[in-house]
Amino acid sequence: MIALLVAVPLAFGFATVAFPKLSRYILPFVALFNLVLLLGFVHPSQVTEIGKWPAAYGIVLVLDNVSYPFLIFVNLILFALSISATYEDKLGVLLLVLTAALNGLLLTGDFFNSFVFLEIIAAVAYVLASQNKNSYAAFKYLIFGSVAGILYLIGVVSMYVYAGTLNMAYAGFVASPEYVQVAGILIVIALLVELKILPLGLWAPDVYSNGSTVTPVALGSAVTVAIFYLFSRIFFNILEPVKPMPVYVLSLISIVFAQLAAMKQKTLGRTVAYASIAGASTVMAVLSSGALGVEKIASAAYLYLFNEAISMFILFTIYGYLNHKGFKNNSVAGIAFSLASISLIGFPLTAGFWAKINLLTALFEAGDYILPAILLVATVIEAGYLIKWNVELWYVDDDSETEEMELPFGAQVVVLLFALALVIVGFMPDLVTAYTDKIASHIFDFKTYFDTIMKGGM
Amino acid sequence: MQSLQSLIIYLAVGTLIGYFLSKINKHLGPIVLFALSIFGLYALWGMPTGVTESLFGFEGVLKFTALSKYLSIVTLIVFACYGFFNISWISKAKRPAAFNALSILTLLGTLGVFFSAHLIVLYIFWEIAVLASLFIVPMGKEESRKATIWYVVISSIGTYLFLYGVFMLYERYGTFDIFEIAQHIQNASTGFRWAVVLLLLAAGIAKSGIFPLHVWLRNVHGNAPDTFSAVLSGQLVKMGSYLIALILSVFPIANMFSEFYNGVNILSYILIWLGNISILVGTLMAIKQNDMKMLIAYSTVANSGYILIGLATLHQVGYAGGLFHVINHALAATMIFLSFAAVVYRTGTTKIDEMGGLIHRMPVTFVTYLVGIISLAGIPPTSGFISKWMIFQALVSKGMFVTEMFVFIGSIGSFLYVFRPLAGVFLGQLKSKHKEVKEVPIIMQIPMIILVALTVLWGVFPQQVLVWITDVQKEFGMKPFEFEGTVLKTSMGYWDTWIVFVMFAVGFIIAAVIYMLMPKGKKIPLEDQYTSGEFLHNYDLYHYATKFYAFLEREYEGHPSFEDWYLSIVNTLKAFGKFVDYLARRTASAYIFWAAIVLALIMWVRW
Repeated sequence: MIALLVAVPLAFGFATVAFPKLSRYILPFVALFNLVLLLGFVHPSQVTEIGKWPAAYGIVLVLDNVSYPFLIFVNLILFALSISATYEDKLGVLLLVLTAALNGLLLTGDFFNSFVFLEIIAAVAYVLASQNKNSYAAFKYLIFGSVAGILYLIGVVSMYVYAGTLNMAYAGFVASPEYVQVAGILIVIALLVELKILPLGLWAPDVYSNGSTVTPVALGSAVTVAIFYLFSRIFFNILEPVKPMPVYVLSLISIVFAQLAAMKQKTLGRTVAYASIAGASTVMAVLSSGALGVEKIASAAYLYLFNEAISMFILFTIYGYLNHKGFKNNSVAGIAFSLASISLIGFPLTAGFWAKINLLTALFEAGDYILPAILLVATVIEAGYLIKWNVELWYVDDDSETEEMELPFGAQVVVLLFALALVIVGFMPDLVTAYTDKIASHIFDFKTYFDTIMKGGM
Repeated sequence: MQSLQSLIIYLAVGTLIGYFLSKINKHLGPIVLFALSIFGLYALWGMPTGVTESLFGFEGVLKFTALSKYLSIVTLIVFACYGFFNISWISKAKRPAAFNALSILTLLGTLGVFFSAHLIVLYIFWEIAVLASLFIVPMGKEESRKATIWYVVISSIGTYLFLYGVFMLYERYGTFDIFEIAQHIQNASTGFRWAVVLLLLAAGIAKSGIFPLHVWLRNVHGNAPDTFSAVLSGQLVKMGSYLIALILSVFPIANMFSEFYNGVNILSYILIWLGNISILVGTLMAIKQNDMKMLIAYSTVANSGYILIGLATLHQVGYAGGLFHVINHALAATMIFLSFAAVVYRTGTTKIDEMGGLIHRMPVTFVTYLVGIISLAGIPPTSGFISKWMIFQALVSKGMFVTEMFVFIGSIGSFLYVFRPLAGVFLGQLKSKHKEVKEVPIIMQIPMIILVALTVLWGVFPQQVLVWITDVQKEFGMKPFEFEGTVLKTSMGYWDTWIVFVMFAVGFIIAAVIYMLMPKGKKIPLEDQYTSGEFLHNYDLYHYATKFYAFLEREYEGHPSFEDWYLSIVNTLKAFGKFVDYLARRTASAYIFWAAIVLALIMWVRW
């Protein structure tokens, strides 16, 4: 059953290659179908063996308590995207393929299979990045992304060499930590590129600020969440939880520099792009700080990721439609924008507040004083520039007689609902923390994962 | 009897109601705010202190202390006057619905801060107050948008330092309850005590505009919507003073820090010096301002300095004086800013040298301003005198003569700077363009008159305020300030406010009688005079308020500016940002370089 999550979007994607117009109408239904399937018909834990080949010999798709919430969230973002975004017809097919690949990445239990999905995502991402005549940025992303892809592949290959299998669970069972290190380093660098941690995320500002309503949302929200899943799966669940010090330090530097860069920007697009780098770096820093196996830290990190993804979705969508036009005639967009900003900063009564408070609590309890300090310094900077943009857009000098710009109805509904979601979670954080706690408790539990796939034996 | 939680809920609901009613008729929003403030006053006035309450099911996070009660009453008086004034003023507001709703939310936030015993709940309410006021500020003048950023950044610096301190405490003691923490903190190591107390105080210092985090006040108070400046200066700044008072009194500061000078501990001593510098900076900068709102904004810096000095002495008289100064400055700042709002309502400008002679046109506004500045400058029989006198007494008895000098300079300086708007705006010659100006509507006059009455009333009969203050002192185990009726007693003597008032009143009556008996002066129209042998035809030329204190300003012309210094830090940081942007705009091969560097780095370090 869970194979449908990959198969249905992929099938519709191929079927509509000849009818690009049709694809954009199918996309929302496919995303909705995925959501319905996930919420109503499948439940963790389930394993699908492709071609009836049992695990460790064939490819398996695994729906467990870790991938399940991630799948729901990613498909929700894709569904919202399919309603809110405006794009050329031909992109519909690509978004269907992206949906399939993201679901595949979240489900797969096989190293090489994950590489394939990763490359499909990257290929779609390059095309998306070139939207709005942004080919040079897309080209640079292509180069960076290809290097990352190759490193990931080498990592997978060396994993195969050491472990003798491509199955994630079995590889984790067999491989000894010393040998896994090389593979781990190669894989982590590939993921850092996709997660846009500076300096490996230098491609992101140009790509995200292209002014499209698809590119930054699809890449910044959906893909980033999926890659964070992959990172957690490989480094927390499969390989022994280790504390990757260089990644931690790199992320800390990335947070500060990204915030400083965001502060300097003169266009909203680039500001939010850098803010999104800073956000991803924060999650990365927290995860690599909590990689020792502290569930509370991981849970807080996923809540933070949730807040980032939703807030960034709102900010980028509104930027895509309104550019710097201001909210005078777009109060719905304005309210959503402001709520997303204050949630990003972490003011009370929003999801961002709980993300920040939970993070601080967990980090202090674990004895990490550096990250909270950096996080708070970064928040001061972030508050400065986000409020600056809010004020500028709310009180824009409208002597310019430019054409009226406003959000289409669908986009208005989506950003408003998402903004409301941030507020509701702000009042009832349990709605999300119930899931993130569950993820966190299972992500460090290798045995359950192994048993789920192997069914107790080979 | 009302509970604290229900009051908070009423205010939350009031925010929504205020918003939607304002959509129907913008004059309804301020009425909601006024009604809620009066209700709050009624509910809290007789509420017993020392009661612990739960909020939305969280046990024991609220505590109604005597300090909460005192500050809440001050706040509600300010908000009631502000709300009433707004009923008429709101027609000038840019976004009335949002303005009204956010005003109510600001009240909710600040009251919540005063009620919280749980540090995270306090932080939440604090941020609500900041957030709500944050979105009101840019509704002011053009420059207010830049000011908003000053506000949010300096405020965030304070609150996040505070938050870091709170979590350090939580990590050590496993609780967020300030009263519980206070029982343990004495046993902590010296370094930890210093770190935590300074971090917690940072929020109060930033909020109350104490040097070196004072720079935002000029921009924010000076550019915010006119009536909201009254709340900012009269009330929100007091939130900072509250936090400072809370920390200094709940924590056993005297036992935590070693004695440094005549029974004053080292932490208090540092705070007193920050207060000294604030007084000096605030006074000198206020003298320079040509914008009347910015002038009073700097005077707020100086007055926060007074409050801090009074509180930090932790002295029977000084602490009481500091608390008394809270209510005095709250009333005075509200009066002054409301009278300015009235002036701007009629003339449309805040520049002192663009006005003059408004005393003939706006007498009630003038009297409000006059009493406000008399109280601010600390002249009897207003209540402003009492608090300054108490702080003075404490400093003398502790032998802190240097600080006393600063306090004295601040007092003299305040005569100078409050005179500038008095002479420039209300006295002198009426500008021809203001000939048609009328007094503001009666609705705006009423709160101003009430504030005048309260200031004089508490100047003559300060008992009620002193009861609130001594309750605070008793609660925190301090020796309460001694007073009997209108006689205030210190170790060095006493002061009877009633006798002083009678003396002033008699003097005033004698002066009035002389004035009546003497021949009346002749009213001369402006053209009826000449200078240098020439008749004046253009009377605007004859009024001077530009470079009013040029002779003084010259003495400290090239002074270092913290505002510029902070801006240069921001520019330096932006240069780093530019560097990142530069890297991002390089070619693809440069990107590969970075990938290789990171790979090499991680390969080398491993993990």
